[in-house]
Amino acid sequence: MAWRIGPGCYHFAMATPPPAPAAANGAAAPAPLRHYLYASLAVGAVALLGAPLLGQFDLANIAMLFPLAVLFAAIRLGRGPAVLAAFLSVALFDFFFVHPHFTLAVSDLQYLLTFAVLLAVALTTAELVARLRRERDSAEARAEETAEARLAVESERLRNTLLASLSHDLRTPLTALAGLAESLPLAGPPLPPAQAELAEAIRAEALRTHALARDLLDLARLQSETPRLALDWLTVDELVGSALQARAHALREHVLTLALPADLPLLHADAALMERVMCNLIDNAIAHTPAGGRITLSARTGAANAPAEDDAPSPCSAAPQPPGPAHDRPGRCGFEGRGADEGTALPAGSISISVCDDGCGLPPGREQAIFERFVRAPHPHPPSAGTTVTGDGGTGLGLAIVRAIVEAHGGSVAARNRAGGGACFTLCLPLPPQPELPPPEGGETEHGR
Amino acid sequence: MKSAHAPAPVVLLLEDDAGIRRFVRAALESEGCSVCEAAALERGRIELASRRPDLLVLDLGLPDGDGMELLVELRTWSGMPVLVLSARSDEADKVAALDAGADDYLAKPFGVGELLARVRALLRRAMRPPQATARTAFGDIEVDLEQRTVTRAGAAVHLTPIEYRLLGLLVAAAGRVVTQRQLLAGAWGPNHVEHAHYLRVYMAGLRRKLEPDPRLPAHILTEPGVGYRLVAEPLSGARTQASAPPAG
Repeated sequence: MAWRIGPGCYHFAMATPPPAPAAANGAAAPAPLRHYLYASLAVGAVALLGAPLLGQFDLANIAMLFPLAVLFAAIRLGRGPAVLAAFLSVALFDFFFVHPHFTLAVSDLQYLLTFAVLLAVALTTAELVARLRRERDSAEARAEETAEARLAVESERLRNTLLASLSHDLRTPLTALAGLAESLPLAGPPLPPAQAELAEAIRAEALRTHALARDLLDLARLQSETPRLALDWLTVDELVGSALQARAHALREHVLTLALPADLPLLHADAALMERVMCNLIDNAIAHTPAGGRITLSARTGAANAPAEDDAPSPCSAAPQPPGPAHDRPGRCGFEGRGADEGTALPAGSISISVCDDGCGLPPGREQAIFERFVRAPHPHPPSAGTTVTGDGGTGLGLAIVRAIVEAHGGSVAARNRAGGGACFTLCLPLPPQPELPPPEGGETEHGR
Repeated sequence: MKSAHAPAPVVLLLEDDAGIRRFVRAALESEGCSVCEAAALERGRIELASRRPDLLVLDLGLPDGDGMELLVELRTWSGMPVLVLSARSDEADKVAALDAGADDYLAKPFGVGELLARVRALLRRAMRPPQATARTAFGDIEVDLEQRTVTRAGAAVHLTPIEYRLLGLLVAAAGRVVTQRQLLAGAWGPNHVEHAHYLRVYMAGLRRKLEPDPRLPAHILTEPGVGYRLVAEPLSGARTQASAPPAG
């Protein structure tokens, strides 16, 4: 007998948007100093270009050259260098071109208007170009984000299609294999016992292969960024009842105890996946509990004071309390970093469901490792001679799937050894606000004699 | 199905995988059925029209189209029972097939025992005269739809009008799965098909009144993510999932 342990972990991290480029939010990074130098050189170059024209052109026309330098600075170097170029243009124009030359003094006050217009045109050009640059950068960033999002959606769709095709293509031949082996006795006279045994072995192996393929594909599906959950309102009674009904045959040699309070709230979960969780936990309990052993299914809510079925507090009690006012929100269960037996209270707004057995228990210290995939550790307490234990015919993925499903629902799962022997697996699920119940009917009818 | 007087029921098996056709045919013939086969949608249409079978066993994934297309077409002119075989694992596909008119479904891989149990239930219902369906018994419960009475071990059971409507829907489809949507529409009306929690509350009430142990239902069974099924005889782990080996 072995518990399944192994490496690997599951991530259901929420998709975080990539950091937006700085330009996208309008907070452009400051231009490097050399850009200011380039801007100054551009203005100087314009001044040099205009020098030979002095005396041949009106000063107003020469002044029109300077906005070109500002435009260049705004387009290529950024807003800061463009503003510098604007002021420098006015200064150089005054210094080199306006009488008296080589001084900032102005002999004719009309040039003040030229300076003002030149400065206004230059600054407006700088601002307009800078705005255009920001908008262009923002549009580029948005386009990049959209492309990334489209790529993510497309790859998720491709992944789901691939998984569905694989699932379909594996199921069909395995169904035929199992069915043909099962129908061998129908094809002719009854098979001799040895052949019937072989036919049954073929059928069982085909089903085992299917179970392995199904579990691997389901894990891949559950590990996608956005596992698809068909959320529905469920009662714990119904969830447990349907799992027990599905495992009725396997449970016939065990004593079953149900400790489900009558007033449990509704769960909001994927019915098929949660039934899978319960079936896998029941399978695990059956596989590690001798015939005649007791398997107990129990549930309790964080708000209720329902006594635990067992001699130790539920592992859900180890869930850390949400800080501050968030304590009132639907329970966020977790066991991170704490032992299963620490603490006493289940978080308010959460529910725990436990499957406990009085079998051989878990290898000490490996209580969380058993939720990993595939690796099996030798059991420290092999069953004594003469003890009948059901075969360990699982895929080694059952508990990993349990954890993946529960975590996809925002819950957590933990295992621990019971003080009196045996193991307890407890899952903790957050409870959303309960839906409005159907309006009461107007009394009972006479449908009966 | 095996009767010295009645002709053998004809089953049309529409399935593209030769291996599955072979063992399903062997299983159905062992039950006394006459089986005709088709591997593609077009051939299936021809066989349906010419043979007029008593039961259609329909695979949804066919090489020349989706079996759902044929199912929708068929329901425009025939009420013959249809058992869907599906290699799709999604419960939504099962619900879609049932809501489109399928009478029952089997998810692959399925066992011969499950297949024959479903086929027997469907043929029994198809061949039973309508008036015989007025009275149904399961466990120690007797339901008389004509007299509108429900008794448990001879004693009257009082049901609310909605509980009675739900029971009536399950009894009318005894042995077959009824989807949540069908139950909600039948009991509360088409405006309440999204109110699954109504169903949970009333099903719990029905089980308290009708099941020997409501926590371990023997007759009103849940098909998770799909709906409910009323079975006269308790099943012993007969669902597909139960036949698979332990997963953990």
